[in-house]
Amino acid sequence: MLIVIDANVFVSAAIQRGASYRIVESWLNGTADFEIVMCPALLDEIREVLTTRPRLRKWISLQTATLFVDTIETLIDLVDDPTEVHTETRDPNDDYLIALARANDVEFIVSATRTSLSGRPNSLQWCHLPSSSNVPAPRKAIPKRAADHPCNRALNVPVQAPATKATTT
Amino acid sequence: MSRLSVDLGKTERCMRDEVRCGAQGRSVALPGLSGYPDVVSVIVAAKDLPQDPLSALRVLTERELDLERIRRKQVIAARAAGASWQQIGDALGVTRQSAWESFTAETRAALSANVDANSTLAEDDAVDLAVEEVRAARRRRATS
Repeated sequence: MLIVIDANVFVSAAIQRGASYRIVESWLNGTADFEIVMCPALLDEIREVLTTRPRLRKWISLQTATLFVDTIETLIDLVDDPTEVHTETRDPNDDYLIALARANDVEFIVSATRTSLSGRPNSLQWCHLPSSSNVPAPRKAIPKRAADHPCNRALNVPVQAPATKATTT
Repeated sequence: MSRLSVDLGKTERCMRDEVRCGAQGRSVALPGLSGYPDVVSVIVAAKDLPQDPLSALRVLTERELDLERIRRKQVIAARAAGASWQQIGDALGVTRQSAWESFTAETRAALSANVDANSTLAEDDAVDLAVEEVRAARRRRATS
């Protein structure tokens, strides 16, 4: 399964042990069931934010940030930056993620932001990671695909059949 | 001369040319390792080890750390040259998964220590910070 992980997930994963961390950790462990699709523009964003933004220095050293980004760069087979970017999300600056995903047969975009995709016919879905690790938001966001959802797999969120009430006689 | 060869697996064979001087008791600069000590001796003559076993173990540990740095650099170079993780695993004599895990071990440890140190940072705040900074980076890129 191919997924695009938004830069905001990598950044939050680097500074806090939450849902973002767990999904990135599973990928770093090599135990994730998905492959990440990334382009140079997306990698540059991660590098820029983690290594140059002053607000991040309080939460991650430059050395650790550089190690993390360099590791990502080495692990991933970068694909070309998308060339045809259409307006599909509320924030047009996010649209290149959609274009990247569509150009590479990606099924899910995992992001810390919410958005809704335009109604173009394909299977691409936007997965909003939970803001609280106790809330299995991906299941709510994409209930029909819950069992296959990479977030649920990575986060070990159990996907259970609806509970049947025990009847007492 | 008896020598104690630090376990390099298959990597040793491909590196031996580059460190042949080290195998002869001298050290040599390795290409592409500018970020690390420029003199690395990866093969230790047994006679050169300290007599004290504990001191000898410390020397061996230091050499292993050198080797790990070299191995990491070479993996990065191989990936930059287009090698797949399967090819890297083959070269190291391990599975693709093991090569991947080995390469990411340092990063996983560093990240884990980092997030543990940030115990006062709430998840919502971390996400908000990440979202804001990435959004700002995208705006800067769009206007540049």
